[in-house]
Amino acid sequence: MRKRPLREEAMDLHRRLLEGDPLASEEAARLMLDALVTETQMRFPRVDAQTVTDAAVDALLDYLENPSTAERRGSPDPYGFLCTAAWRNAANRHRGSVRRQAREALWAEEGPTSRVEVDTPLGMLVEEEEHAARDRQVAELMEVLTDERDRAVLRLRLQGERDTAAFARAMGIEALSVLEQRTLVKRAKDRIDKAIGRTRGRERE
Amino acid sequence: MTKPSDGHEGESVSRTSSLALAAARAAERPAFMAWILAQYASSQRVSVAAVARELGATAPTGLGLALCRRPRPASFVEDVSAIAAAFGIDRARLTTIVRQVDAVEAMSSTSTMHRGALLAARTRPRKKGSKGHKDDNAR
Repeated sequence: MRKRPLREEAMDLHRRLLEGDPLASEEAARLMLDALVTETQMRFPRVDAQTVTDAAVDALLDYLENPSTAERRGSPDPYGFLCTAAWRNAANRHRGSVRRQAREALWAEEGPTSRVEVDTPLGMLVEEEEHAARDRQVAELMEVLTDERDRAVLRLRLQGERDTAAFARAMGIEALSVLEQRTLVKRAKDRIDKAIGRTRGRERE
Repeated sequence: MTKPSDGHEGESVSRTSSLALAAARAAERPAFMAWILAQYASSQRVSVAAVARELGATAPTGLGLALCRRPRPASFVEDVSAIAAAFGIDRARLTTIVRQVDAVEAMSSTSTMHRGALLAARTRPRKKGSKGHKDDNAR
């Protein structure tokens, strides 16, 4: 396990960051990032490693970009400030991820909602109408999504796909690094979620 | 500036991957050298790795370079020299790359400002049936 950096080391780097030393951010990342990831994972043992790493990285980059924020919050220890920021990010991301999974499950598994027996003529009619309504919703979403790659991601999500590599292949970005694939796939999913939110909002109105 | 990672192999892999993720994310933030490298790579239609090679950086030093803050305008020469010396890369080439990205950024922000000025100069169409402005009535 990576050890928490010494307070003196963190304070020295903090002072150099405030002065704008261009090398201080790289040194701070090497000194603090892994310890930050480890401590965040210990704080949230049930949250997946990817979410924890993302949370720690974002907290670190926010701090390196604006080190004075640690002073505004009145924290005498920059690393302590970073831990609090990473924990907050992890908690927010975890909540967001739980909501997203719930939405995905809803879209992937949403089946007939009526209580009429399916094998009866009335049941078949109701089922057809429900499928037609769902097809209309999907068609509306497809129209809202202007990027063909987003539409490809939506099609896969409707099939219940969860593998990032599969999404990357559908988007034609499999030649990029895994990190870039993850970022682009996540952005596409976020755009789709927003579109779903807007579509559902209009339906309720 | 790049220090060899200590600890066993698994830890070293995790260190590299979290730093690599940080460098990839930093490419979306203009405060970092990663952004400069990404912008330059995109303008030249090459990969960031190719730009790093052009500078004479190895993979680990390229990662470290990406995580540096971009040089400050007030101490540009000193900052570029410090970065180049820390990572053992070509200072002249690094200067050219940063200057080129700075210039493109400045031009694009100028053109955005001009677009704003044009928009500000437009007369807002009057609503149908609305009364004229006080000054119009005075004329």
